[in-house]
Amino acid sequence: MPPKASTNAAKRLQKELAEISLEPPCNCSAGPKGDNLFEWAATIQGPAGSPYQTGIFFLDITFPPEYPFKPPKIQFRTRIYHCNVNAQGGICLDILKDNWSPALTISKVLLSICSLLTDPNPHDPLMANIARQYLKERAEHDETAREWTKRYAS
Amino acid sequence: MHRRRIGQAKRDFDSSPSSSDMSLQNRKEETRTTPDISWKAYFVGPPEQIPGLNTLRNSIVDPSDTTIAPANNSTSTMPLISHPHSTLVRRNCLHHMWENFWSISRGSRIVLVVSCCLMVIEMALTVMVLSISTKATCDTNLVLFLYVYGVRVAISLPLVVYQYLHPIGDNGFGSPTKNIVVDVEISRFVDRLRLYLDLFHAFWFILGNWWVFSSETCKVTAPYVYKLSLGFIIFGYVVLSLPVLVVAGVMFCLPVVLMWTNMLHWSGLFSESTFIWAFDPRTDEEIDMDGRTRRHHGYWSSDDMGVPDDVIAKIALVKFRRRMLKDMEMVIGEVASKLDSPNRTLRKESEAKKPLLSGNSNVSLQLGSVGPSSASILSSGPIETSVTVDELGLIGGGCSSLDPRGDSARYPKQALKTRFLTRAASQPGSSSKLFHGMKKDMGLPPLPLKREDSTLSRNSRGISRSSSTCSTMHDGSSSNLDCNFIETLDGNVDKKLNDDDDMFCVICLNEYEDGDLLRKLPCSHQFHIKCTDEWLRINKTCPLCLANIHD
Repeated sequence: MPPKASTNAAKRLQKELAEISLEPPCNCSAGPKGDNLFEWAATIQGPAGSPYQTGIFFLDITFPPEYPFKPPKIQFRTRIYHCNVNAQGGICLDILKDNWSPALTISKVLLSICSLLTDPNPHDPLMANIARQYLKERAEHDETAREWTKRYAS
Repeated sequence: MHRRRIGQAKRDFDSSPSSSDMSLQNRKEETRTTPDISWKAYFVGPPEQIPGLNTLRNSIVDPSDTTIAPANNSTSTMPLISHPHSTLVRRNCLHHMWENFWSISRGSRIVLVVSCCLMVIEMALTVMVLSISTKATCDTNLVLFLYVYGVRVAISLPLVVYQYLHPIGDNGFGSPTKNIVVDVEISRFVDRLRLYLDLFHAFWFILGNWWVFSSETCKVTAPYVYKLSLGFIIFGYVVLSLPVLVVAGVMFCLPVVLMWTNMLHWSGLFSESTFIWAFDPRTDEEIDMDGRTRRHHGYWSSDDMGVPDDVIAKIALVKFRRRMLKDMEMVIGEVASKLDSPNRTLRKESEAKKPLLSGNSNVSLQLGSVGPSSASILSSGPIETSVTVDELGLIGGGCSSLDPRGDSARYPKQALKTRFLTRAASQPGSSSKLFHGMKKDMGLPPLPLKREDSTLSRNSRGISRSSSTCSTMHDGSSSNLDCNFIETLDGNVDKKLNDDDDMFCVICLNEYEDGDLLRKLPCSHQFHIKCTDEWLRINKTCPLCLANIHD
């Protein structure tokens, strides 16, 4: 890893940490797990009105040394029944992949994940079964999602 | 999910008029784990009643599952069930498989279709050859080889279809009910069976090799059997060497193929019709994710690649300019000290000016930017009250001429204003200097005015967003801007900055310093030169508006 890139990344992460501590985005929080500034943990409170409403979801964030030129890797640590999150917690979100922009900050990304919980994207799913259920049997989907939220995220 | 399908089928025939009394028991049956004998009594008869269905259903229903068993019995032993019902069940199963067929990835679909076709062809050939050469004799057991080969293919065909088309893999997802357990058990059973078949096939393949190559008379006595066996053996070798061929192909042809796909913009080629990942249908999810990851990371995609260095170097460079306040602070400080001098009447007058000063941050800046002339006046000697008031009047007038919000109504003395105006008119040289402005986030020096500080900050913020603050004076040269601005390398004003966002680089989040070199993209967003170049090397879009810089 080029040391210069990671110093710049560390500087930017410091700024982001300051920003997210001063003005935390609603329903989200994030911060480094330990001394390593590149390993963060985050929590997202299930957005009201979604089947994830009562849950608190933990996420792991790993910043690459090339940050912000490469997107952070974000994984759900709490299991969630969502067509864009797979069993390993991987998230299918365009801004974490090909639509990443260095102008995005971690708080914006967390807000995007929040809105993904409110509005899943079944047309670009990681879990085809859940997406199909979301489209065809919405009530059952929501019921299962609530059940999972209760079981794993409460 | 199978169970739900079968349950659905049961409900379908429940609703038929002939079995209305049956439906209640039937529903009970669904919730019960032991078969209901009275219910089963309706269905006594040979399973051959529904040809074709049994194999299909057996391949998807685990007989060990007790909840499914009655359903199994009901469909396999049903003299009472007439053709419409069996058609319904069959249609349901087929429909279900058809649905699954379209939900698996394209790669899996291709592999499934190809392998099914091959198997059917193998079976047809075997049956054909065996039927035309029933009396053929041979010194080795090639006929037996073909028989067993055909049987093996016939068994593995439904297994392959099941493996690809069963709805829930053992990936741990799906609804957390008992059905998953059942499905997982079935799929494990099928996997194991398939594994044993494959092992047997390997053994049989070796044996076939030995028989084919050790036979001496077969070529003459049973030519078709010999040729078909040889064909199967060769086919087996081709399948075995397929990975080697693929690897060799990739090694030798990849650069060419990549260039070709880049030219044709086939970014999805490797992720969609992938031939390696798609072999295991149960990892579809991972395949999808990997495929997406690959696609999204853009190693194959020409769209996501960065911009060559020579193109980056051609993008316009601009300079960030900010007005420094060092000398202004000094001037303001001096004015303030004069105002605080023992002259109480002056003090009173300055009190009277407070709303005026605090109402608009530009006021203070303009006070500062009155510049050397006023500074020299102030510092050159004893200051008459009239001079100070004059200066304040000058400030107030300057403000009123700028301010669109009608703050001039608050000025206590119109006379001062008129005096300013005449004075400003008489000194055109100094008026150009009046409007060197700063925004509040530039760190305004603390004024000796304690009251209405909040008003100051609020108003100044409002002003920083209003376009009137960023006005260019008559000649349009850079020194006449009252806000931060972007300057071209040859010193002309390129753009005035109004938004707070423009004051820092969104890539590194650092505030721009005076003289920082920025790159201005065609979409007229600008960032630090280093940050922009590093980003453009890996991606050719603007970080803010995602516009392609080539467009």
